[in-house]
Amino acid sequence: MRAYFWETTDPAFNLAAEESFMAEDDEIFLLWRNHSCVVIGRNQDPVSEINQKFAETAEIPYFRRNSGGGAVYHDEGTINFSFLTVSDMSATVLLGGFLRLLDIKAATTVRNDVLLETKKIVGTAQWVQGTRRLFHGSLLYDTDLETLCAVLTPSSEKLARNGVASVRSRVDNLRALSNDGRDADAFFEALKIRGEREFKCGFETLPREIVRRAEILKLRKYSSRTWNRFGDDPAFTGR
Amino acid sequence: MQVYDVLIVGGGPAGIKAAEESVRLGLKPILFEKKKLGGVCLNSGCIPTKTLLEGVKLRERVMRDAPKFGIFCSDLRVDPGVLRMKAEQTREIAANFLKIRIRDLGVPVKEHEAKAWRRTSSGVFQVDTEEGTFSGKQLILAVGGEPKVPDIPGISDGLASGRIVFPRDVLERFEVPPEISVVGGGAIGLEFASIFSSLGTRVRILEEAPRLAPSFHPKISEFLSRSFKRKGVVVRCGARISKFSEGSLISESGEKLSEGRILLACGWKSALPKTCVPEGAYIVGDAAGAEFSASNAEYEAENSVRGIAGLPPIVSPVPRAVFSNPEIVAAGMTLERAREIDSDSFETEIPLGLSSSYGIRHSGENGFGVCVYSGNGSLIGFQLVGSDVAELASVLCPEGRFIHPSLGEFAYFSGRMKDGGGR
Repeated sequence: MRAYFWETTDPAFNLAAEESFMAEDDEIFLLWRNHSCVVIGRNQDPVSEINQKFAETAEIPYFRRNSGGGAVYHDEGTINFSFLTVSDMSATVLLGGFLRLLDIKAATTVRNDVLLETKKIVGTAQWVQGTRRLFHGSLLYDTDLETLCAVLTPSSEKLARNGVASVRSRVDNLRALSNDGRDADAFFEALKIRGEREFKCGFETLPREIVRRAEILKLRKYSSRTWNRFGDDPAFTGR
Repeated sequence: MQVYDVLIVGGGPAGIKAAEESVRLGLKPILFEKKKLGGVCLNSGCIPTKTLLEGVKLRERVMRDAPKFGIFCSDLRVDPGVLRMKAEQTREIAANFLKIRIRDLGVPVKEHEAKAWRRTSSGVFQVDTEEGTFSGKQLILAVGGEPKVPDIPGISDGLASGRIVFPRDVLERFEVPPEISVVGGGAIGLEFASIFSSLGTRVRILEEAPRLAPSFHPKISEFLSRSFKRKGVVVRCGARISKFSEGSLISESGEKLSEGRILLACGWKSALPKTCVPEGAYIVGDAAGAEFSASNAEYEAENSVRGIAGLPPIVSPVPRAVFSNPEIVAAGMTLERAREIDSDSFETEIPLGLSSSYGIRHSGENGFGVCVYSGNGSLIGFQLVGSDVAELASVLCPEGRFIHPSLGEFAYFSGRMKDGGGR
C-alpha cells in the first residue's frame, strides 16, 4: 500500500489528483480535504441537487466527480479518503479499513454508509474502470451542517424514501458525537498516524508526475463547464 | 458493404456471451467460429468431463449411501462405453440448445476460420475469412486457449508416441487403463483423477507445488489430499520432473515418477499470439490469459460489450469451481488479502456435515468450508469442498455470477432472455 496526503484544498485539483492515481498499478490510500464546495455524483443534475440561489450568495462552487451516488457538501471540516485498488477488492473491506482508523464502534449499511448513533457520518461511492477500483468517501468530522443543509436540496421523493423530514436530522459530525476536543486539522494529523500503523506504510506528499497530470486534468475536465454542468467527459468526446 | 457494430472472433463461452450481450444492448454483432460453436468448454472440456464425473459420482453415491436407506444393489459395474455415449449425448444436446439460442438472437454466425484481422487507417476493424472480408466498428478477440506443455526434455517424443496424452485425447477415445499418471493437481488434473480412480484405474497425481489445488485455501488442499488418498490415489506433491525417457517421467534424482499412461494437465494458456492484436481491440476469456474458466470468460465478455456500449462494468467476484469428487467452489477474497486493508476481517470454518440437508443427501461424506467476512460481518469470500458444492455459488455470489455449467446460471439467464432463452 502507498499512502498520500496533501494540503491543497482546491476541489478541482483534488478530484483531478485522485483520478490521476487511477493509472497507477499499486494499491493507494489518499487523505485530502476540500474548501467549501458541493460535489455531485456522476449522473446527477446540479440544478435539482443544489440550492442555486444560496450557493451563489455564499459563493459555493460545485464539481462533478467520476463515481456515482449523491451530492455532498465539503468544507475543511470534512475529511475525504480514497482507496485505489484492483477491481476485485471488496468495497466493504475498504470501508472497514477506513473505519479502523477512526477507532469507533459504528454501524455500516448495505450502501456502505457509516452510521454512528443512527446519524450518518460517512457516505461513500465508487468508480470502476477496467481492472481498477476507486472507492472513496467523506467523513463529516466538523463540517458546517447549517450550510450543508442550506445548499443541498434533496428531492422530496428521496426524503420520503428515507422516511425522514430533513437532512439535518439524519447527519451529524463525528466531533460532536464523540465529544472530541481536537479540531479538524489535529484530527487529520491523527488519521495519518493511524493510517501509517494500519496500512504499514508512510504517508508521502503528491509525486511530481501526479501533480503534472492533475494540473492538466483540472484544466481540461474538473474546471470545465461541460463536465461539471452536463457530465460530458472531455476525454471521451467521441462518444 | 455492411459494417457491423461488433466483430467477434471465437464462438466459445466468451464469444457467445459477447454476441448475446451485444444484442441485448442493441448492437449488431457477427460471430466467427472455425470449428464448433461452444468452444473447448462445450465440445472437449467442461460439458463432457462433467458428464463423466456425474457418472462416477452417481455410482459412488449409490455404493456409499444407498444401503443406509435400505436400498441394496449388487452389480455396480460401470460400462465405459455407455458412459462415453452419455457424454457425447450431453454434448450434442447442449450444442443444439446453443444453436437455437444463437438463431433466436439473430446473430449471424460464420463457421469459417478468421484468417486475419486488422484495424484500417480509418479506424474500422476487418476480419478475413474464406467468404470474404467483414468490417466492424469494434473487434472482440475470444479465440480461446490451449493446454500448456511443460518444457521437459523428451516430452515431444512422449506426445508423438501416444504415451503422453491431453485431456481432450482421453475424451475422444475414452477407455479405462489399468494405470494412469496425471501431471498437474489443478482443476483439470483433479477432475480426471476422480474419473479414473472411480473406474478402478490406479491413479497417481504429480503436482509441482507443495499441495494439491494450490490456488485454493490450504485447508481445502488438505481435505482433498486426504479424500484422494482414501480412494487409493497416490498423491505426489512437490514433484520435480526433469525428463521423459523410456516411457516414464523421471525426477531430478533419477527416480521414476510415473506409472502407465501420462495425462498432461499442467495448466492452460492463451492461444492468441501477442503480435495479432490491433490497437483498440478487446481480448476476452482464455485468450486474455488472466483466468481460465467459462465463468470468467463470460464475465470479461459481458463487461467488454458494456464498455463498447458506453456502460460501466458490473464488477463482482467471479466464482471458480472444480467438479472433482469432492467438488470445490470458491469466490471472492481470501482472509490474507482482506486483512491487508481491514485488519478486523475474519474467517470461519464451516463443517458441512453439521447441515441436516447435507447430512441427508451425503451421509457419511464430510464437507468443509471457509468463509471470509469483513470487519462489519459481510460475507466477502468463500471456499467450499464437498459433494455438490459447486451449485452453491449461485446462492453465495452477488449480481448474477455463476459457475458454468450450473442450474442457477440457467435459471437466471434464460429468464433474462426473450421467450425464455430457447425452447
